[in-house]
Amino acid sequence: MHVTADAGKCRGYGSCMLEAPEVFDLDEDENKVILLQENPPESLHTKTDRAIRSCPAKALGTRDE
Amino acid sequence: MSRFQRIVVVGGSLAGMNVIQELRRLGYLGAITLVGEEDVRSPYDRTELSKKLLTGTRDPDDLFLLTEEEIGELDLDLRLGRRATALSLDPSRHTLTLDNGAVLEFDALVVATGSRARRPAFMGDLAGVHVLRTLPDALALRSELDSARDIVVVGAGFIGAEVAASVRTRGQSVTLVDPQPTPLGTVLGPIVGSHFADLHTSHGTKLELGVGVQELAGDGRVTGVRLTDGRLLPADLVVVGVGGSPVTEWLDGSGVEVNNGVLCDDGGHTNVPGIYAVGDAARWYSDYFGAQVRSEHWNNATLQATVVAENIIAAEKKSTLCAVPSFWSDQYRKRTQMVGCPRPTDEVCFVSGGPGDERFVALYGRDDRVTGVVSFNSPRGLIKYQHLVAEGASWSASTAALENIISTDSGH
Repeated sequence: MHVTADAGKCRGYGSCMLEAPEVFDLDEDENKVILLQENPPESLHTKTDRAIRSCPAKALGTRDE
Repeated sequence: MSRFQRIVVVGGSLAGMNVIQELRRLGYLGAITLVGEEDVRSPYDRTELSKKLLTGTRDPDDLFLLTEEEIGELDLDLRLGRRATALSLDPSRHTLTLDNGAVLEFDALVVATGSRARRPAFMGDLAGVHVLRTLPDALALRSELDSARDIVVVGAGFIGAEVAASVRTRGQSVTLVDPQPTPLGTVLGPIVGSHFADLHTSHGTKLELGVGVQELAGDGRVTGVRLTDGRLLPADLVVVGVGGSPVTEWLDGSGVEVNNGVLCDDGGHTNVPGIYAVGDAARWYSDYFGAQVRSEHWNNATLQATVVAENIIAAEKKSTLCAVPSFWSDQYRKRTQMVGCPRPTDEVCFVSGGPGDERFVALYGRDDRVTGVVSFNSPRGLIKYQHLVAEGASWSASTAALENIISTDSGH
């Protein structure tokens, strides 16, 4: 799994951080997503998937490696 | 693979379309029919209707959640601009009737018909009186706002507060009316509610709190709002935001149990096998609350959609939702977020900042349990403390090191 985050689309809801704080953080001043790990381990895939789908701004995704 | 070959989803907004996307993502190849009352090219971000669409910084094209190509790939039988009128659950043949007389047979059906804005009796039929639920509602409101002088928003819940903030952001005069003593008081209570009263006042929004609406004045078009204390507020545009009610009357007589929403277990199953419900129209059992609750929030709609899609596919295995409710609201470019479901009478403890500050995080608690976290301009603060709500952590232990607990009873 290779996670992508589009800071241009991010509107700072933090839903991703709520679902998978190991993978996503938020810059509070910029109100933009910060990707903590682009290749989360298998154990975090379910959470990361939920986080990606929870994004109201559809700023997150995955791409094939 | 699912035992269902023909799935009908009634309702094409966030929850309904998310069920469909999840079904396809999980590999469901059978037929899916989508019945949607709104004839739009894609579900759209309803949350921006009271915010950036109203201020004019977003246009309808910016709100669509899917491209036409993405919808095409879902391979749907689209019945848009159509309303479901009746559901028949004859054991040998399950059918859905639409308002154009079409009859659809199905193996599984998902109720995702959402909610509609409540229209209190005082609204009457005067011109210039609006509710805000759909894109056409928002566009009609935005276009009338351009020439309005005295705008009154009735209802200081989240929709009303956001509309008032957006109208002020446009530089126009607005008065917010609510029988509660503070804005957002029924959700956030008087202490955090007072912060929002000050926020609105400092931005020039006039507040008429602790007073209700008696009637609207006008002849053909609204000219004023008569308050229950007898005063008349001049108004050439009125927005009424007093909550929503689930759209379920098409299920009457079908045998599907409805009571302020379609009653479901914690996996979205109704009392009828093969019939599911999600989103604003559904009232799911929540393990967290020990009761069936209806939630009109984005996060709830998307999470429920995932669970229902998994249950339709799995047929046997039951996936359940065990999430704590959460939502956000934007007013004057400030973001408020909440996790949990505190009562307005709960104790409040500020773990960072306080009322009137640029940012704060407040814990809510009762019966020695943390019931909620509310953050103002501080999403990271919310995340830091939200586990206390999920765990039902001890209020006294969580707040022991803090001295800024404000008891709601002692006032503010």
